[in-house]
Amino acid sequence: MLRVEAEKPEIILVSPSTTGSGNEKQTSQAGPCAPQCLPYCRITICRPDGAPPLPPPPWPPPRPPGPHRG
Amino acid sequence: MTTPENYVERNKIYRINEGVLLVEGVQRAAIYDTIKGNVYSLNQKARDIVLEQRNDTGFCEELRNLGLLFKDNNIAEFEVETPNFGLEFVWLELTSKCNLTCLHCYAESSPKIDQEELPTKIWEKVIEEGAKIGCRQLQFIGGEPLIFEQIFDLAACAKSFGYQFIEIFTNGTLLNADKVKRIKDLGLRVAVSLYSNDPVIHDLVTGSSGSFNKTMSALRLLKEAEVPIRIGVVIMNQNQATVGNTLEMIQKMGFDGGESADVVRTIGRGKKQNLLPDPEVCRNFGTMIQPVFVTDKNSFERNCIGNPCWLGKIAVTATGDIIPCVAGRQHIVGNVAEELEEAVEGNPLQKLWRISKDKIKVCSGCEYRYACGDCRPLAEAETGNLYSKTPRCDYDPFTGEWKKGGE
Repeated sequence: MLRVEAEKPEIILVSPSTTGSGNEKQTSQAGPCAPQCLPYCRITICRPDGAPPLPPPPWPPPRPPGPHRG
Repeated sequence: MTTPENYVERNKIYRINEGVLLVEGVQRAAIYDTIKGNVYSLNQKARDIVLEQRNDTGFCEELRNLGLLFKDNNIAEFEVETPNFGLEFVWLELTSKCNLTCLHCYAESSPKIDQEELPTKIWEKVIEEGAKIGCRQLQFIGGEPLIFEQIFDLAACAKSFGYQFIEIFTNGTLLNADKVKRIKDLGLRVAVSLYSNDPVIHDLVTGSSGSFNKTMSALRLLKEAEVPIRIGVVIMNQNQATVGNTLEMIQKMGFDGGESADVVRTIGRGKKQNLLPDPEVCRNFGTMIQPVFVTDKNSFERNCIGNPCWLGKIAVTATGDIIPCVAGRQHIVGNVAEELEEAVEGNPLQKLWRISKDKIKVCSGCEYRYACGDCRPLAEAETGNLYSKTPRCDYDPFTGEWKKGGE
């Protein structure tokens, strides 16, 4: 008889870094759009009301590591 | 198998600690720590332990150690407030005319456009009306905005009305030392498109021999003057072979944002299929292939109610039409002949602004829907449906899995 093992609870961090200098840097440089959106969305990193910058939605996502063509 | 047709709706939000929200998806769930900025993915077992407050000491302790769960498990459904959204950013398309004829132009601009420009006083009216309703960010675009002779008068006007961010998005070919000085004196920013480190390829994309040299000269002048500059690279079939070298050149020139590259969007002349780069390039540069999310209180609450991208934004075309985005040209929500406030507060624009991920098919079942970005014009262009998931995302919330490479 096949015995199915019960699923274990799983939690995975899906942010680029945990708290600390890395994350602070990311947040301080972030804007309402991912920087990759610049060619189209053309939005800047500043916000008009002086509020802290929004985190960057991953659109498009960061480029994966590895060589690129050319 | 769970599909968009048979899934059990799981779309609630729960507050599980101060500033920490659990968002249900069809298969999995996500925890948004809006204080630390982190997003976590949970499987079904973990979600059930939290929501059903099961006695799983070890796992709950792990969550509490991360600051994600109340000590007393005092979990409650999260209710989102529905504030009125105001105007935060405006694009002003000063002219439809451009001195270049880029292969992929979403606005289909060219030197042949014979569209009469709006008079300066109309643009001044738009700038003033925008300021009165709280807008403080503005970008001049076109066509090529430097073709519009009074652009610097308009920039000075915007400064006088308190705009804090004023940027010119230009191909750079019409810039010279005098114009750069005016840009510097007015405290403006500049964004420039560059397509290749190879002059032949750049000129092939722009349809104009010598454009590469002119753009590069402009970049040097701007750099010398210490004008804040951003450079964007749109990747298409014609320039894909030099993307790596182009980004490297931009970085070596000392510009921030040199990594800014995106795959051509199928809008305007960009709709031509022969512009799309190879699938592997599309995937590497233009597709969401893995979860990389951050959050904060403001963005979480905004994304619960409105669209992650075009909420708070409008573009005014060279004919005075008001649209929610330069790429969403068919969605005309008003005209500057009327008061700007009318269009901003009107139902057509507010309805578009409020296309949150909850209203988008498939995305509404995704646990990342309040941390993810969006591009409605792209989704509409590629699927014909304004409310469809963009094909440039590899996550399937109905299986809880990301596509493997090449699938």
